[in-house]
Amino acid sequence: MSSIETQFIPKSQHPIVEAIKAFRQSWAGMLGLILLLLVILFSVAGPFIYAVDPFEIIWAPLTAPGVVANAPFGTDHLGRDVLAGLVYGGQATLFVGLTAGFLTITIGILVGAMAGYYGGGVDEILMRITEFFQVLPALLFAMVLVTLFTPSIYVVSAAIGIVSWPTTARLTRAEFLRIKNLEYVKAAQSIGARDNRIIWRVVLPNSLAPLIVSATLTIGVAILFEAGLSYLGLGDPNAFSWGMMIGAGREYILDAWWLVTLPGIMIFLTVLGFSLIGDGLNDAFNPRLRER
Amino acid sequence: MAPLLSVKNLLVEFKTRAGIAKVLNNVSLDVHSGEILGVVGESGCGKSMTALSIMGLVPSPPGNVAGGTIELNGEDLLSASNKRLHQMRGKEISMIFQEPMTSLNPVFKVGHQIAEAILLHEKTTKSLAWERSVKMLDRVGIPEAAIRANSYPHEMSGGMRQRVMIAIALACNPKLLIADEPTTALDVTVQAQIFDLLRELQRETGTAIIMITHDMGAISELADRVAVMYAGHIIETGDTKDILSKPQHPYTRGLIACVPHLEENPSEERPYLAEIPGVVPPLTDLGKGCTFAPRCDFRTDDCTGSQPSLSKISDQHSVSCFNLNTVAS
Amino acid sequence: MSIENLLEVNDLKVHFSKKKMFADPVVVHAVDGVSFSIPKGKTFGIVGESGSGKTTTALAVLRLVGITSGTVELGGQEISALEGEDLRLARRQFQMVFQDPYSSLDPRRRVGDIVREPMDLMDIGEEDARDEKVRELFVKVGLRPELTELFPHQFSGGQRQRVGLARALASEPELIVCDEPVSALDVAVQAQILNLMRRLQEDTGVTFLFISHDLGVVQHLCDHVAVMYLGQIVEQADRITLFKNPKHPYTQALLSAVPRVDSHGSHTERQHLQGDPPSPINLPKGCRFAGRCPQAMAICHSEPPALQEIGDRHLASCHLL
Repeated sequence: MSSIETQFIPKSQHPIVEAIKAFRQSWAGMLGLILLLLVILFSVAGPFIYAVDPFEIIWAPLTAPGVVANAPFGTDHLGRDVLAGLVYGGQATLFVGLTAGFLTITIGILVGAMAGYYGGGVDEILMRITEFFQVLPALLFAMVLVTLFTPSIYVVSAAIGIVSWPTTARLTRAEFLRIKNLEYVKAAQSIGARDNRIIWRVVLPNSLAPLIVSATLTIGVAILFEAGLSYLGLGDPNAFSWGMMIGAGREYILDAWWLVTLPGIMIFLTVLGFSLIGDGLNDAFNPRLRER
Repeated sequence: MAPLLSVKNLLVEFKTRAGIAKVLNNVSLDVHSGEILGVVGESGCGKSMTALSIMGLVPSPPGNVAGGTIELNGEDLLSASNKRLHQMRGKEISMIFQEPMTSLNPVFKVGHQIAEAILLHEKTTKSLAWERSVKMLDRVGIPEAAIRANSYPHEMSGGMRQRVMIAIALACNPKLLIADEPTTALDVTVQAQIFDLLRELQRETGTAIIMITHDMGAISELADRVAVMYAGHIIETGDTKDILSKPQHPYTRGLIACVPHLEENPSEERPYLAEIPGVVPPLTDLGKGCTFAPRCDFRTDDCTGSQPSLSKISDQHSVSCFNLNTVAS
Repeated sequence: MSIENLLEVNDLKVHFSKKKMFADPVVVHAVDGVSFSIPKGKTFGIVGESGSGKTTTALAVLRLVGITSGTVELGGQEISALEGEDLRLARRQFQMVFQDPYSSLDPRRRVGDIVREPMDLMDIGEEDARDEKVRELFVKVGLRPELTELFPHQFSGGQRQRVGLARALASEPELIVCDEPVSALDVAVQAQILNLMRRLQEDTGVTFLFISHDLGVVQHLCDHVAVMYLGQIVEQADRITLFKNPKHPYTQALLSAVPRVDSHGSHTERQHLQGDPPSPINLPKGCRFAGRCPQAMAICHSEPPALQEIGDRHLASCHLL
């Protein structure tokens, strides 16, 4: 007689659902999420509430914050409203961060997955290419790309994505190398699964945890990168971004502290938000921490 | 004769998400100088936790020694200071582990690692410690010990590495050696060599050994006495011969009967293996009755009321079961 | 080939070569000329220590590692010659149960889907009937059918191994290869799984190739047993003959090394092998066991012995015979 094991049936929970639960218990992650939601709210709803054109000259240049009522955060070297710049600059900054982050993750996963799963010659070639991009001075290369094409925010995003994917590719490859040797991958092969299915439906879902964490951090890095390019004057001149405000204000830093500090704080808060979310996700996906 | 190690009514609890897990419940055992005590049971029965408790290595949090005493030569280990525990580990109590691949440091020569253990506990020079580590390697049966002392762990086979672990553990002549599944990761022919070695060293030095294992065969090979554990309790203890030939507790009987033992004269007939039905209960929810009752064929009303105490049925043999008479017949 | 044999393996070789930049490539002779056959509905055991090539043999039979040379025939079809889509679809005939119940199930998939997957991938049976089939398989392996919605981490090791068996049975294969299916389980659970395997064989007539290092388990389960050492079969016989009358010194040593419950105190009389198995990279010229053999002669170090028939379906390779 085959004994049916009598054990209570626990409720079935998808690993993702469990991870969300664990994320909600992580104070860093929740703080990051709140911070990021505030930044998004500020950037998306802000322009409707505070509808001042950031390019319009409204008062005397370099007016300090709190001096005149219609420029509460002061004006820049051309007499434009700094608060309007902060409100409008968020969209471009977030756009560049998210698009560049998305591009980084996509290229990185694609290259890393192919190299890790197939190994051998494919791995050799892809990894040499990865190394080529890794040893390039990223900022210089991005500057070259941006100067070759017109510096629009699309080109800036693409340039950032193209120079930052190697880290993700290496991480993906390492995860694939580890997971492809686990028995459930052999099992998938032995029940007749094709390579494509094994890569995208078996190995990738199981390597997502560290990739998602790295993705959030990548977005933060991309935002900083954009700020760096704009600071050097290589941002999109038609799109107001926080990085561009810092770049434009750098000459007046000794006379008008607010020109660099205020957009700097916004960038700081955004990147901090993404980093904290990354921290929280790391806790949520790490089963050893989850046991506590 | 007073025992070398005396554990009395040890209680260890772990905080988990599902509640308090009672990992060890009233565990009492004595180890005398020069004997080998086998502790046997399935995973999660508390056998490794018993070893960690004696070493003072219960991870805390989430673990917590909630009661009982552990005495080595009359000295209370649970109230000993951290400094004292550091002195004792390696010097008076040593431990070897299941995985000889990961318990050696891969970046140091094995001779160096043995010498390190000696220098930690004794005032001696580096060169003298090195000489002694070569002697130890020779003693644990590693050929060309003086040359092999210069090897790194990855240059050795699993069996050799376990010999090195034993050399480290015995370098300071401890009074008690705890071996936690020392041969589980090794091949059978190598396992037999390690058993021979442990037996021989034990005879020479008189070190007491606690051997933790899931394998009744290993117990039969090595142990003088056995303690059988189930769900944090010791449920039967006695001389190895008695336990193996006349097991009294239904769980011990099941444990021996469910393993397909190698026979020298196999017959054409192959009956199905005896099964212990069901699964080990969760340690967070043991109930008040006998922990084995839900899986026991001899269960009566008594069994669900309280945990039976470990009572003597002969000079050496104790069992915790309410229905010994019905089980025996 | 005779009709009664389901699986015929002939002179199977699996060599791995590791390329080195500045030196000759290193060749690992993982499996080096292995031949055996399994009658339909029987269990064939391969025992050996680590490095003996028993697992690689299993993976080669399943076409999960590349075969260097030799043939594998299953029910008259040469599966060692299949490639691509033909091989993929032929896989329904031979399935595998893995050693580690924790890493052999995809942690992100519900167990019901894991069991259903082979049917979807190889298009077996009516699509609507598959979920019902999954529930039937669950009952067959002793799991409650309501459990299909759970994830692997909610199961104990024994239950996971039952899921693994259900997955292997899903495509109604002729052959199931089991690589140490019970060695990661506790003894009480091990007995449950071994009994289950025997019942499944009685019910379905499936043929097992059983890989193990545990001689007790092999003696209990297998009808015919091969002993492997360094990539080769050194002795092969039916269960009774092999354990009662082992001829090869290695088989004898292996049997005597197993701790026995019934012989407490008699260990001192036994002679144990010295040393470790040599590596499958630098193979000795003569008999591969000669270096550790207590009865080695001069010829053993210079000439490899051939596998010869020394009784009814009893083969051994040793110069002493």
